[in-house]
Amino acid sequence: MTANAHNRNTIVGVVVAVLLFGGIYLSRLVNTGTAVEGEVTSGQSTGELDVSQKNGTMKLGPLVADVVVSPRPPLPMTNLTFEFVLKDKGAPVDSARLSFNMKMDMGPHDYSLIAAGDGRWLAKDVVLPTCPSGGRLWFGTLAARQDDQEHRGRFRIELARHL
Amino acid sequence: MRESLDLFGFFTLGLLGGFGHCVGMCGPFVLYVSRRFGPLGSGRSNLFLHQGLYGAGRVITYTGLGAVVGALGGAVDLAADMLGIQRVAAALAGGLLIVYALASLLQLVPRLAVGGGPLFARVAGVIRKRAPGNALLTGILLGFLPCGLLYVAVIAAAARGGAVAGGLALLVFGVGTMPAMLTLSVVDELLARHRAMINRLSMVFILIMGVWFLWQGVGGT
Repeated sequence: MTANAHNRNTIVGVVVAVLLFGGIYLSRLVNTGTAVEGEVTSGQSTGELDVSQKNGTMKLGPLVADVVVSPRPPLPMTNLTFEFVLKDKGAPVDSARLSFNMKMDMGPHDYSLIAAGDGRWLAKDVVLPTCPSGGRLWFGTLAARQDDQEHRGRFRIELARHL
Repeated sequence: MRESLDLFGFFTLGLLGGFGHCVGMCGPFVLYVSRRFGPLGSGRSNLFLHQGLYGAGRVITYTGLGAVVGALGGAVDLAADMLGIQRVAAALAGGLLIVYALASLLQLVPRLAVGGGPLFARVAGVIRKRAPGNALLTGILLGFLPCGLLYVAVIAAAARGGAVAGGLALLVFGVGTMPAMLTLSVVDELLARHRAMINRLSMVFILIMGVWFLWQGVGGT
């Protein structure tokens, strides 16, 4: 192969590599930089409610939600239950959805919540894996529909290690 | 309850996850397959053939996993059983990458061979003889590697209700991951094969990832 052909291959390779890794970077930026609409009343310095160690409360626009996770500690690849007690002002909440993702995109991981009365919404049998690269931190987004409007709030949960 | 994912959803999970996730985690294995089974100058069709076989091997393993979780109706039981297998796979894969990268670096940079080189070459030769001899078997073995994206797909496949539906879902997912792997192999073919320094850096990358996978297998996560 001639030197010109080598150079051409190198340039094409660099261009494809830049497109490939640029696309990866942009897709991660999109996945980690959105979805926080609800104001949060407690949590870490990042401003998100952290339910890794204990339950908490967060705001979703006009709604307030108590977040209860069981069993404790939350372990990877076990059945977890997420309970949200929505204290609504005005019209009742019509439906609610819970979705999870990590910093590294893990694809759609969505759960429909079941109304259990008195403002309680449940997601049972939630199974969250860990990433072998060490990632244990999941970001949950609760989306509640009320009066044709969607209110969203985000929280974080770091899975514990198996003993 | 978990919202079900249709077959197109599994494909896009594999396709987008392939570019956003697999390229980083499985990149060293793509380089390994290219170097080991597609010798220099053997042409791009040969490269695609072996990368295709490697991908097919992974898809076979994924399909089997999908069929099992689909039949069980849940991924939790399988997860406990799989933990040991995945650790062994990670340790084997890590060891393979380390040996291959070191042996290749010794050839690429002969000065490294001073002190223990011949002994290492003999040990490496023995280990390499026991490594899977073709890309398909390599893919089948490496399909068992612990992978967060695969876990998500397996959990979703468990909700498909049946072995056939679960297996089909993960087959489609696995096929979806292949374009990203093939793109990476083309980048590697265009760059590393004509630039000795990049080739050496690739081997260093494979070596580092080999140590990391070995650590995952021995130490667990």
